Amino acid sequence: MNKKTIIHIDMNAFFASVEQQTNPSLRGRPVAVIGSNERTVVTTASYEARAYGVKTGMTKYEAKRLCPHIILVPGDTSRYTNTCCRLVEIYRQYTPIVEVYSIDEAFLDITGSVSLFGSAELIAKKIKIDIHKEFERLTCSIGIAPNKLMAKLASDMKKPDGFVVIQQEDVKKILEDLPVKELCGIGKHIEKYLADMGIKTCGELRRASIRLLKNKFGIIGERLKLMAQGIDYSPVIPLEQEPDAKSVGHSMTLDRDVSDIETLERYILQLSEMVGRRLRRGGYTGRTIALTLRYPDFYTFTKRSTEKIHTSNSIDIHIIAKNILNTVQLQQPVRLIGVSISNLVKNMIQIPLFRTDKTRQAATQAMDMINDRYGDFHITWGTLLKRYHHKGVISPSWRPENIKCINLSVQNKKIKRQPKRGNSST
Amino acid sequence: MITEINEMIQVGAIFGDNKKKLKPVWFIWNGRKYNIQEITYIWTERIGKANIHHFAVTDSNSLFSLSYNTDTLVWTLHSVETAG
Repeated sequence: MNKKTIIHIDMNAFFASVEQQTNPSLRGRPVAVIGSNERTVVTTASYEARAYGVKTGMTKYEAKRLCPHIILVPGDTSRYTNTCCRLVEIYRQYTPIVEVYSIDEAFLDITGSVSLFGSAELIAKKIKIDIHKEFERLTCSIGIAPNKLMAKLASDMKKPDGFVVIQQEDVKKILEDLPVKELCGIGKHIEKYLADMGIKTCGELRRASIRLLKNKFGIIGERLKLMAQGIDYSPVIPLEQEPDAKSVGHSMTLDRDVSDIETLERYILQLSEMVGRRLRRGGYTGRTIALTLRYPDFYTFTKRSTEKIHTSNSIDIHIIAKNILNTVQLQQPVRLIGVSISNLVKNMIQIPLFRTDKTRQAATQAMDMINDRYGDFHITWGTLLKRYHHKGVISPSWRPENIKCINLSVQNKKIKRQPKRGNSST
Repeated sequence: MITEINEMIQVGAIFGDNKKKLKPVWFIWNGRKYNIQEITYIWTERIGKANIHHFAVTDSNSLFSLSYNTDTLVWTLHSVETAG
């Protein structure tokens, strides 16, 4: 039986690299990809910008302070998502078991493919060559190991354009002095709790008492102990086998803070339509609607309402979310607003009993058919003709297909790119 | 500096060019013919049923963003970026 072999591929400075490939004048220069909002942050910085200390999550002002000649480039989500899809097609030439971990990372289970291609190292080298042929300047760091945890650690070890193999017999030595935070899955909070227990390295975590770990972390304590030994049983899950969505939501950070209720209700309508469209496309209905609000001081809260009946109708979602808003006494203007729906059921068919419900369902189906044909919001409510043109942020849960795919068509550019087409409204 | 254009243009393109399938070679804008020196990036997005193939191209002086709509068979010049 072949020993398990996992590859982790991490595209280097992905968005920035795509922009530098697209625009020759950016090559070799410090570049930061940002959102289109005034209140935006750096989503990716090129390696030239990173040399100045520019990091993901910084505001553009901080980035400019660190690197005054940095070039700020608004991101283009459709470009990055299409590039990711093409990368996945490359990976699938070597194994069908490809897990898209994020837009710029993937796991490949090549256990069954190694004998076809010669060796794991050869597969990794071929992938690098294929990426170079297709995209020229895009590079990736590849890690090869017996499991996902170690493969990801391996790819992190050399960037950019890295290639690291961790053999099973080297795992203990590599992990002995490694800080615990270097393991994927151990964040700041767990790191701090472990530090309070006197545990700073994976070696110390490996030697820690399982009873103490379970007392502190519950069932996660067992997993932490396994991680410290380089053990990870989690499988590579290809797209087709991903579990059904548990919730569907959309949120937007507004250009300016808003306290006007009518304006907020318009945003809720827009978000409800985006959520409803994704639900209907995926064949889901849900009955717990949540409204999330964030104030300028970043205080964030969510209020939920669970209804008796499942729905995927945008107006239903809008009314419920609006009702939730009416129960909130706004303490400050709103910086971010989000609508989501959970308690999902797939393929539940609801037969409308009354004429008004039948008419509404028919209108929704007609709108969906038009928007499927011509693009989202091509036909919409009159209130939304002046809607917020949300550039679209790629969620960590984005995938090339299925319901987790973020609907990117609500973008300013897309409206401009269809000359001589007018938007209809109802 | 980027200037948004969003105008339909005439494009001379090669179909079936090796692996690229569709390759713009020149285009005409404002009465002037531009010869494409390099296609720097290609990507595709879907708007409704239409596939829109995007091309970032340069004539060595400026960077142009073109797209081809497979539904309407229309080429569009979206933007021009010049130095400065």
